[in-house]
Amino acid sequence: MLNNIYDYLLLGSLFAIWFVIFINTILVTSGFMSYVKHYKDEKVRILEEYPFVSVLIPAHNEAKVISKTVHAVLNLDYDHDKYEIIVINDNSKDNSHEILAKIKERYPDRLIQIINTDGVTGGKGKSNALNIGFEHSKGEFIAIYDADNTPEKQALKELVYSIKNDEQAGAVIGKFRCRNKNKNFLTRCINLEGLYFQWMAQAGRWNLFKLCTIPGTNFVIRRSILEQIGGWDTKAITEDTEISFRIYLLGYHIRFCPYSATWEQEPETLAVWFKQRKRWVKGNYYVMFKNYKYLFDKRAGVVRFDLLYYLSIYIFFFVAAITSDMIFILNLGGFVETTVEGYSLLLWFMAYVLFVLSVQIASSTERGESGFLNTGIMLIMYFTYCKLWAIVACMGFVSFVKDVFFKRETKWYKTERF
Amino acid sequence: MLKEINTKASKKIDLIDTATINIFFLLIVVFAYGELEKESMNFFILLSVMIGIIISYYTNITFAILCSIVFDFLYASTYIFLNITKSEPIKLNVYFWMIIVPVLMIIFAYKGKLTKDIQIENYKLKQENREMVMIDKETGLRNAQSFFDELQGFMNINKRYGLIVYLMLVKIKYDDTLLRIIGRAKYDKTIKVLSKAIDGMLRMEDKKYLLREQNMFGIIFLTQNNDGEIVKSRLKNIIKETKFEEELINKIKIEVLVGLVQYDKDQVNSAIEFFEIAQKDMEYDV
Repeated sequence: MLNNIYDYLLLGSLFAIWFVIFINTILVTSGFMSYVKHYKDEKVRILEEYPFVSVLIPAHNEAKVISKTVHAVLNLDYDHDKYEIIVINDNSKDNSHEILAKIKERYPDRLIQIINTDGVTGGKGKSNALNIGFEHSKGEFIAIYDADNTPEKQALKELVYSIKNDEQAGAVIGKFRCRNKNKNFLTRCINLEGLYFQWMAQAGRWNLFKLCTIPGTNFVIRRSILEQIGGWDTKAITEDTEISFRIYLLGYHIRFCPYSATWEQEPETLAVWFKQRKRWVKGNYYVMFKNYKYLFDKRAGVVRFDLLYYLSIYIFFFVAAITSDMIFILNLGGFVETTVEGYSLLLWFMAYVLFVLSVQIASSTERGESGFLNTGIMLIMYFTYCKLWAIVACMGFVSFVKDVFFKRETKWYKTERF
Repeated sequence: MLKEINTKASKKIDLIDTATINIFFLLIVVFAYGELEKESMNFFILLSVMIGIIISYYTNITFAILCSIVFDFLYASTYIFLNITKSEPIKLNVYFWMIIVPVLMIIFAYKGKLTKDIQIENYKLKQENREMVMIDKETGLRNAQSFFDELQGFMNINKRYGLIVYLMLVKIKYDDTLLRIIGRAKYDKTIKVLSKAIDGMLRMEDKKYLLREQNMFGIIFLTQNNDGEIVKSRLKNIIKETKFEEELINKIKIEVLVGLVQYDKDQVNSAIEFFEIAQKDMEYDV
């Protein structure tokens, strides 16, 4: 029974951890239902007439990958007169400019626009680059692909089909897959994390609440919405999460379309991974603090679930994990006494088993992902890759606080290419 | 031979079966020596395991994992709750079930998948095999597969050289009743006798086929005159006079229905259509 303050603290923190596991279990179940629904639907997905789409590709020092990306977009299975490609070569210091100029010269009959900016006209981050591209675009729908992407041939067609058939959809997102998953242990972990995130977090939330967040690439958005909200928020460093919130606040939803997929390059070294994830965590803190007032606002609708989810992960879960670990250590050292530590081992064990099974279920939904190697990685991922997230969450929080206090400007945090 | 059937799938099935036997051995040992039988909850879990295995086998891996997740979550949460409220100790068997349930469910779902794969492969192979076989095993006659191929060939001969092509379909009258009375073995013998009788009146270049699914003979022949009707009446007479070994069949008096059509390139577009017209003609043979 509960005897002292430490017991109550421990109980509270363990409950917070249990609650996060509970939410994830529900998301996994819902994600599975979404998967079944999508793959049983054998309806032919073809439109009588396809609308004009502007494909924006923001690029900053992307000489290593940009040519392949533009070629992949040029090869999309979509009427060539019905889409334009706008590459925003934003303040690049490498030879991206020459590479892009050559591509444009090689395909004179294709609709390609290359916008080159320098430190004065651009260089203020991805949001700003997207805004510049948007100004030059004329499509009824705007599609975004990151500069390292290889979209599958039918990717754009599927997205456009979905958005045309759903009046309430402000945007439609597709899946992203890891192109360099076989490179090393880190990329294999990122690959599994991506599968889990998409089938459980995206498809799961979509199925439950019609709620998704834009992943930053492989999505289409209505021009009218971008005009209404005045484009991307240049202060946000995770512009995708930020714009997702604004779409929901306008009363639209974001649709998940698993038939559209793009393959992207993931960080191959820990240093690059840390830099990228720190940016994500920081960006999510930014969105959380900017929008927390909506948590108690009924008009915000399903967005409140996302805010609650972020809060539970980044604040409650985090604090709870640290508290319970501290009490456990102090208890071992004989500094404090607790009587409820018996089930904390079971809770930890449950978290571990459910984590492995959840990643396993996600990987079983994609061809070629469920094998002995991936199962082995899942078993050790919890003790290795997942622990890195705790460090990143701390670093991101510290960096966010520093930015707020010292009023630092957001820079273009670009993920290095390999 | 054994080496040949050691395909990837069958190797995996062997591995899974070996693993299953071992896991069940472990389960029995733990149940007997781990004093699991003392708690009624363990019998309930064991029952859930068995039901879970059956569900997994007939569904798929993804669903099996989902069921395991739900089971593990509810099971562990119950024990956490009981531990807090009633100070019930958490014994090792809780951890044991949390591992063994998903493992067994995934294994059986995988076994189900492999078995289904093999069944599908088997079906496909049989189908392909059937399509490739051109000769009927029982009678040595050409079968439906070669019938339609060659019928098209004869139609082309007509188009090119102007020879008249006849298609004649021969079916035993009331064949269902006859089959019921004399049984499959004797019926097949009867077919053989009939087949020989028909052979006797055909020329070398005429083609005869056994269409088993439709229970009939198909005969294609070329002429220069319109003498198809003569062939038809001759055939009917021959069959009437045929003697069978079985006295019972002789008593029944086998009669045949004959459909006869002359190929007309302006009206018939395909072999199937040609066949259907001949089948329709059979209705007028009363």
